[in-house]
Amino acid sequence: MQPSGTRGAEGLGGRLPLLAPADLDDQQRHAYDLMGQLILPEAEAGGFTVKLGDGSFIGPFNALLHVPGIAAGMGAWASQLNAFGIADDVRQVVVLTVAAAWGADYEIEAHSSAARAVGVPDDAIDALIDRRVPQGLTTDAATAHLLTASLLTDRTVPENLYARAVAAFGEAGVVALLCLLGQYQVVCSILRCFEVPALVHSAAS
Amino acid sequence: VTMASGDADHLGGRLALLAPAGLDTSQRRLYDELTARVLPEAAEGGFVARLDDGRFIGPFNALLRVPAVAAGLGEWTTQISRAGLADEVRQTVILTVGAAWSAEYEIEAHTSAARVAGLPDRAIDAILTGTPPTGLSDEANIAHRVTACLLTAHALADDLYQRAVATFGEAGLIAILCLIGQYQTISSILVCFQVPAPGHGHSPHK
Repeated sequence: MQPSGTRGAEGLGGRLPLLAPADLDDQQRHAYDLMGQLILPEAEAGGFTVKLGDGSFIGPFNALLHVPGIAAGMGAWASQLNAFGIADDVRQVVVLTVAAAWGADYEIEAHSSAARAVGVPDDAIDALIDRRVPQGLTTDAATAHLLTASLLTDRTVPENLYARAVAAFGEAGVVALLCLLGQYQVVCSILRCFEVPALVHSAAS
Repeated sequence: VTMASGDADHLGGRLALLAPAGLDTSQRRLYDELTARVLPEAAEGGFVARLDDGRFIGPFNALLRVPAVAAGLGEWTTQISRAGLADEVRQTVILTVGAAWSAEYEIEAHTSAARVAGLPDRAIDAILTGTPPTGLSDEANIAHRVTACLLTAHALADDLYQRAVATFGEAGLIAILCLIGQYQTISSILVCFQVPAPGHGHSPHK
């Protein structure tokens, strides 16, 4: 999925200009290569766009190139989270729940596609985006959604939900989900702070 | 700062505190890394991260459940702490996040660390009660407003965005967003597992 030309690329950085590969210093180039290894396979599998035809990253990745050391550290954390083995549908449901709470358009668009690719039903995706109770999720994904929504909305986890989450994921699995939640809160805060748009909306305008 | 281990079992909240002798190899590696990275910060900030019997408390006990993920989080954390944010800015952001989550351990630990970094008590009290702080540096004040706006409204108005970029630069602002996210993650762990404060400090909002 790459846009046909550069038209529409203006504005995809939101409040930030898009950094072209030729603009990068050595440390940024290193982060650029790391992000490519980490993100491009995920974007391809999920059917969303993270890099334009000219090599510029979009979404949160353009912003992260401004802090290459931090971006590399975040990549290390994300890699370990990927290796932990959270089920694909659980992962996408958590990410969409976070993205919807933040109103982060780029993330909503990217992970609607990624959620569809791992079999989350369209009705459930629509409900997650509209912040309604989703139907048709697996039991684990439904539990992960409730845990995420409870933390984002009330910043608390009631006893019955806690017991259900630990029974489903174990203590380690719950900590991993909290890290995933935190990782995407960072991504969404970057998208909102810099008003990074979704690709489709921007290209259509 | 040290703390005796007697009657400390409740400090894990919903989790049991893990004793060093019970850790597997990868947990032990993380334990050593936490010892090297966190204990100096705790000593400087005047808060308790590990008991005298060697058990970690606060978020660290929970992180021992996921040693590889926690090691990755540690790499990110180290890079954020090298981003050059002033101590006062850093502590202001952390307290603002901790207060929003009512994360007792974080509030107590970073009330102490904020004092060490020179934040006035009245500013600390204001941050913890969610009222506009006075007596902060301009930088810390802007960082507080950025954090509070993102946590409540999930957006930054143009004037605050412009002030933040003028003060910290784009890179500095992104570092602040990462610091917010780091402590949102820590706070969510504290809240989910109901991890209490050890009660050694003098948090006015216990």
